Amino acid sequence: MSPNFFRAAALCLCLPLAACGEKLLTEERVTKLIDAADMAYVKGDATKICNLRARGFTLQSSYTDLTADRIVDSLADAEELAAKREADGEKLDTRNETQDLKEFCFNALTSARQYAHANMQRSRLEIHVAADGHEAQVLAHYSIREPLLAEGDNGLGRNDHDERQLATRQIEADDETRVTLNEDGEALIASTTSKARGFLVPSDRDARL
Amino acid sequence: MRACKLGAVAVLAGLAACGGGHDKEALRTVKGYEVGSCDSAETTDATELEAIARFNSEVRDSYFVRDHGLLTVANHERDAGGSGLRQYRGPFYTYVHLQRVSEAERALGVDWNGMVFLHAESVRQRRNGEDWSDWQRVRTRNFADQTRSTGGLTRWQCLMYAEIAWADVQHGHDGWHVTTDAASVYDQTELERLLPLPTAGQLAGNPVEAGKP
Repeated sequence: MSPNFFRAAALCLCLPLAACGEKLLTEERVTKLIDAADMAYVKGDATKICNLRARGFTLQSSYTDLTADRIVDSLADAEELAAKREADGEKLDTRNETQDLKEFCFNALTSARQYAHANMQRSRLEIHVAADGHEAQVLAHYSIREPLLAEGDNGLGRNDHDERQLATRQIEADDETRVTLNEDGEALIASTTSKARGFLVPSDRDARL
Repeated sequence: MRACKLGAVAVLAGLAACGGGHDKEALRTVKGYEVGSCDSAETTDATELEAIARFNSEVRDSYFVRDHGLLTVANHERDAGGSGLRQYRGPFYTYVHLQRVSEAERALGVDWNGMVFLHAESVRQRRNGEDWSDWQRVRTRNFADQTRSTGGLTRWQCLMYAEIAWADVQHGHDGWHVTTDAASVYDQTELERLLPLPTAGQLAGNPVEAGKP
């Protein structure tokens, strides 16, 4: 067989393989996706938050309020207070929720402004890509601080309010996310299970006031 | 800085030019602030000008220090790490919002009612041990229901920048009364965190002491 044959055969093999490579998940692709989703959250970009989710996306979340309306200095203090409350027979308020894509996107739209006021830091990111490259599991930990705001009558008119910050709510969340590929080979977030604990700390002052 | 040429008329214009606009102040009375009818005019009424003067005395000059055309406040937070300075950059606008005197207030001798807002263009902060942050546009904390969903855009379409302090101002038979609603990041309940005022040393970089826990 001529060298040209082998060259052509190699080219024929490489092209589909290259195409396959682009359609498979890698740790780098998954990291980019998660980074984009996190950035969309802090920018309050509801459209992007929604578009990065797959058609059948589900969110299962549980949120436990450790301190109710009491303000503490740290997560350690919050955990100590929660333990004391439970020892005293008080039941911690835990909310469990499941959202489909429609509900999730609606929530993102109505909460976008709140997201933009939040400060989010990711302290852990573990990615496990399946051997076939079609799915990945992502484990991440987030610390989110958002202002707890109250509205008051500012005295100017019937529908006029001013905004006052009462405290900062700090949320520590452990998220497990499944990433898949859609029919176009696009990496999207297929589901997230989030376990979060929240507590109140003294106000972080808004840098724009 | 450009050289400032002196001359009776040139002084005023030159000062404005040399000041760079940061310390420019405008006094204006709001005539309407709904989206379709927002309007303000230069304040000329003697009572309104007096209300502004009272606001300046009780609020602006009580909580802010003027330094190189900037307004600076101290933030005495719960700990030294969170304490520091906050600076506001102009142009500065003071707006008088006139309010109706109710029958009940008139019966008590009130003859003038209004709110005075001080607006600034941008803000930056310097926590103890850190450098100054970048300047950011001041954001509004006052909303009408219809502007809630617009991402916090100023509800007063014709008014410049956003509020950094505001107060209720009232005149009655016993004189003027000014009640501060907010100044810098603090509302009425935490105004003491602005005191004492920043010292020259703190403006130059010394740490700001913490306030009450």
